[in-house]
Amino acid sequence: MGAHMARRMEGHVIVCGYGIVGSKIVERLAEKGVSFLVIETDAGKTAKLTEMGYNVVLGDATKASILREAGIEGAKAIAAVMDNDAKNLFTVITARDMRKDIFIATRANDEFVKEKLVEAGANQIVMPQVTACKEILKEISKMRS
Amino acid sequence: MPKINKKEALDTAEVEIAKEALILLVAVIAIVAVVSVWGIYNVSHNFRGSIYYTISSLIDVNNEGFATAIMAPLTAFSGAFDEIVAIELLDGIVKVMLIGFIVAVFIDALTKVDINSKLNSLRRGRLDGHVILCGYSGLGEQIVDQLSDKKKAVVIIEKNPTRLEEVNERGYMAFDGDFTEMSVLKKAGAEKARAIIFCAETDITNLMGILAARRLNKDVTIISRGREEFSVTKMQRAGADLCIIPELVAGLELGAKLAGI
Repeated sequence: MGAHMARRMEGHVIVCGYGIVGSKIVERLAEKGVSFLVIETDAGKTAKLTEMGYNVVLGDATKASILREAGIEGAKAIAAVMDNDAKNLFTVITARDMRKDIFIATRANDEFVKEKLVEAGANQIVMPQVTACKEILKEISKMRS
Repeated sequence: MPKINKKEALDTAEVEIAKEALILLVAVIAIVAVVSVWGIYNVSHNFRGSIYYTISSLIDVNNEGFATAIMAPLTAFSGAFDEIVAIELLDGIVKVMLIGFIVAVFIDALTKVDINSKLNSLRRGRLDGHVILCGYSGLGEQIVDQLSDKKKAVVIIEKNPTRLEEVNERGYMAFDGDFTEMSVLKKAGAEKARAIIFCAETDITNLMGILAARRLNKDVTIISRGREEFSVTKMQRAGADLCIIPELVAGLELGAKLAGI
């Protein structure tokens, strides 16, 4: 998909990083019919996504130029879900700089990174380990015998 | 489990060394006694007296007993002074040896006692309806912290020495070993456990653990963490009741949130 088309997109969600988290977000968004765009550095993955008919931008989501190419000006939300805390933090900062009113979702592995992400302007932070831990504890307390 | 075997071998080796030392000690004492009896008998020609001196000096009754013992029979043999000095010297040697030996054995026993493993084996007997956590990773740590907050009995199996030390420092009950081996799981009480959680870094390791755990205990709840999506069905087929991929759960959660904006 061309950069001009992306810039013309309105009210879409930008997903930065197509790993496990990113792919599940995409799954959900596609299910609900929400328009979205994926930013990914791996050319193999972007080719696969293009084949699937999704909007893709090949590049590093920490860069403002790539975010602009992905149409951040018109986007309603952005999810920084690469498997690198530092890159996510950087993307959150960049995105918040560019847009004061965009909804920013991201992931964190460490508690202290979470605090930094909040300071940087993230609206929603998911911590995979904490979520998994909760699920496991739920399962354990369920089987009270 | 290779590690335990090595340790046991070490223990028996040390016991053998102690046995040898003991035999040597007894032999030395016996020789000293024989020489002493023979020496005194040569001078005094009093067999009972020489045995009496020897034994009393060996057992060290000289503070009171030895002195009085000498006083009476001293008159019975003349020129016995040198022999008595010799006996006193022998007496000192045997005493020092014995005391040294006892102290050495005591210190050896003290240093050999692994307090944690002793405590663990004490508590192991009482394990019932507990939760076993295999692999003290980041996720494992969180689970253990929350379970112990809820006053639930947790046992950890970890083979990484650094992490194991951390576990011990925090006062959790831990076993050193590879949880894919049934003997290790058994030690942690897998047969009576309520739940077994696998939190190792790789899916293969967790899968092996699930297989072993299910063979040991048909009714236990088995929960595993996974990395790849395709591991989930494999883990379930191996006997896991629940398989969680943290990133996947997180992704679905975020996706739902983002779709709802």
